[in-house]
Amino acid sequence: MQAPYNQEKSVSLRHPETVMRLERMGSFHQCRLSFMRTLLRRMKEDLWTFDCPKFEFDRKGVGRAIYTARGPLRSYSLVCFGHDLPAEHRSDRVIAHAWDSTFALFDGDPTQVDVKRLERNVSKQEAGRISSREIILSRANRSVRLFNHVVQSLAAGHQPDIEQIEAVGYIMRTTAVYGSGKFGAVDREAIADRKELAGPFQAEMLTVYLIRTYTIDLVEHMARTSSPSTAVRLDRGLRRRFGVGNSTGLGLAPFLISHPLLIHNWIEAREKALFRVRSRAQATKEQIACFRSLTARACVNVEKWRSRHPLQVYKLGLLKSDLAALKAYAASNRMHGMMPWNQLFEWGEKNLSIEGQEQLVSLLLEPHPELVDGLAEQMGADESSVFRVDGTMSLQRLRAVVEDVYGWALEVDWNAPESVARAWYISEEKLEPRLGERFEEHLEPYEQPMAPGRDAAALFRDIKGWKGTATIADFLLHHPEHRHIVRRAQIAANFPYAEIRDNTISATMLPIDLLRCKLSFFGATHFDPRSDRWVRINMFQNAPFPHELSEGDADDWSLPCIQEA
Amino acid sequence: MIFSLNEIEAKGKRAARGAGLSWGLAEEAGKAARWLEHYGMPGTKMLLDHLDRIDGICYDDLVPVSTDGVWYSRSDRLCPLICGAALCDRAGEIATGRTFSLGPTSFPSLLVPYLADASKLARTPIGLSWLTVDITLEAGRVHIAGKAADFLVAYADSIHCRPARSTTNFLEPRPRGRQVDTQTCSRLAAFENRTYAPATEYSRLVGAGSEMVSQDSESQS
Repeated sequence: MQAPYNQEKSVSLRHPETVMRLERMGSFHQCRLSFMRTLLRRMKEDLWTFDCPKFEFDRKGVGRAIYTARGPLRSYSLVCFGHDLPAEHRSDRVIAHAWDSTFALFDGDPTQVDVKRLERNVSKQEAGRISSREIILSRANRSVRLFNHVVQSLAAGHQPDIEQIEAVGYIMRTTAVYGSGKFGAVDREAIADRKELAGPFQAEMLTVYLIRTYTIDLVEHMARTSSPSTAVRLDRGLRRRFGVGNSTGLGLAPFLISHPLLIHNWIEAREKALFRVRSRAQATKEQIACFRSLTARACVNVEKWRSRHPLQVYKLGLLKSDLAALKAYAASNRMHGMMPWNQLFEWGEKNLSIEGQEQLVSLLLEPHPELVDGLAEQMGADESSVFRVDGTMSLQRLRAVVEDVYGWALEVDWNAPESVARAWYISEEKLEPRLGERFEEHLEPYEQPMAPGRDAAALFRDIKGWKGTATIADFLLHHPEHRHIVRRAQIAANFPYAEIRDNTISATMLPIDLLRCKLSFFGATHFDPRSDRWVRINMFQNAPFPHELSEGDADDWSLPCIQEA
Repeated sequence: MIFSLNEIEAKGKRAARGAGLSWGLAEEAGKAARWLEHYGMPGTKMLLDHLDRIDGICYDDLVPVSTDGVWYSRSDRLCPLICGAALCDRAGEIATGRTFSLGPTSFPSLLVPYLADASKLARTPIGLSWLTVDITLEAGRVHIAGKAADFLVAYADSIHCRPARSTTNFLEPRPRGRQVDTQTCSRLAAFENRTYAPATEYSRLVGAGSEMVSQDSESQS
């Protein structure tokens, strides 16, 4: 790592023991490095253009459309299919069999033959097959209440009710966005060298971004066809208030554990950005003004953030008072002193809740695009480069690595039932990741390797019986059960943010913490947990639409504007 | 059916786990199938044929033991998934000039992906030979000489692994998805299914979070 942590300097990178805790990861907010924002910044900078070569729907919304995004070197087309879905079949669960709309992101411009092939397969989602010409497979369901309200209002010649829009925030929500070679799609490795797709989840974000335009076009079309003489279009000011909803369940949670190098790169980019900002000797007038403005907008944002989940309601209460305190701090003269950003950060560490501290981290990055935005380039990962075990490492060295990375786990009593209460597994019925109760169900034979802390403690115990000079190669030949955790430990030895420093199978762990961490990197806002293991979010709310990208600022939308309050 | 390499790796990993390998070894088995398929070789089928062979055999009977410098196992054939990992772990020793000899081994071509990565770790070309096959791995790339039928054999009596000279004429990978036949798919699924927990009433209720059964519950307003 270029920037040190835990050294006697006024500013250092936050230690992984601080950052990689579930409670903190479950309090992350979107920031300048979030993937939706990097996508829109790139498309604006590279003068992407957008067109809609096909849009054929009946009055029920059944039909097909193509939206094409054209970059400097390549084009990508969202092929959309609208279906007539009976209400009783509408389900957000990943195991559903029918959806209101289904999508594929096609690599280039699809021919009629391609569209026909996709129509046969994409509507079936997991039960169909796509090809290496496709990058993403996705589907979405209508927010029935808002969808119908918007169509009926526009058809009757007036705008939909702002309160109803605010209450939901989207016309459709995606229930899955599959990439990386799923269901026959192109492998990530085959497209990762394209500049526009090198960053994480850029194709997924582009898909959702184009779906957003499709949802607006669809409601306007349905209003027009149901009442051609009276129908009006959505006001420009209202349009932006619609994002794309997303329901994310347990399927996403193991990702953070299964991709240690990638997660390191995400977290390290954000931590380096924070380090750079905190290291600035002074703040300019413009930077202070920007920070004050964004803090005020974050106050508006938290007012609009709805959740009924008791934990999130509690955290929102803390965040509201934290933001009020932060606003007062930002208005004070303390912003004009030496190293003001670091002083503010350290004040936040002492005075704000974890939810508020992480909001502050995101806000600190905002006035500093020149320090922060370039770090987005290092957030991708070639995971195969760190896959192989270094068998030459001595057990003495491995032991030191385990003590360093998994020191917390060596303190845990792994014989206590509450420490190992849960087990991650794949259900035969749903073929989806699940979290079960170890002592209530017969799960251990099926347990997935999602408990690095427990596994590291077991490794540590077995190393003790060996000479320190022995090699990992010899040890693993006798202990193949430790091969997985040795690989992880070696990755984390070089990439300190690779490993979550918390118990992922304890009785008290909350899967929504894992979900929120990942979704915050996507750039999601308004996390709304619906249980301890699934969460709804809104994506691209307030963002400029494709045809507006060239006109204004492409990156000033993640927090609502003051006048919207 | 056309499979992506990502699917081949994921299915290969689960199948190897289903056949009884540890997660760490299974991860590498999935990578091995993927690597071979990337070069247009039947990695999935060979992996399955091998998993059929070792199914039910305990690790201690498969692990290599060294007798007079040659690796053998207590069962009649060495496992290329275990030996491949063990040889890759010893990439540093190969770099210093050490050679390894293996006795009877099933599906020797499954060793190749491991030694391709070993050649990167060791930063030296590595040679692998059996029957008429003479392979050089260099910086992850592969040069193969010998009869194709010998490359794909289900079994070789004697295999040698050693430092090699730098070479040229490396094989080019095939850029896009691969065809996996229906029979192979169902054989993969049979092994994979062993890693999936059967559903119970309790797991149906708890596993995904019971609130998830509610449909379209926009309770925000």
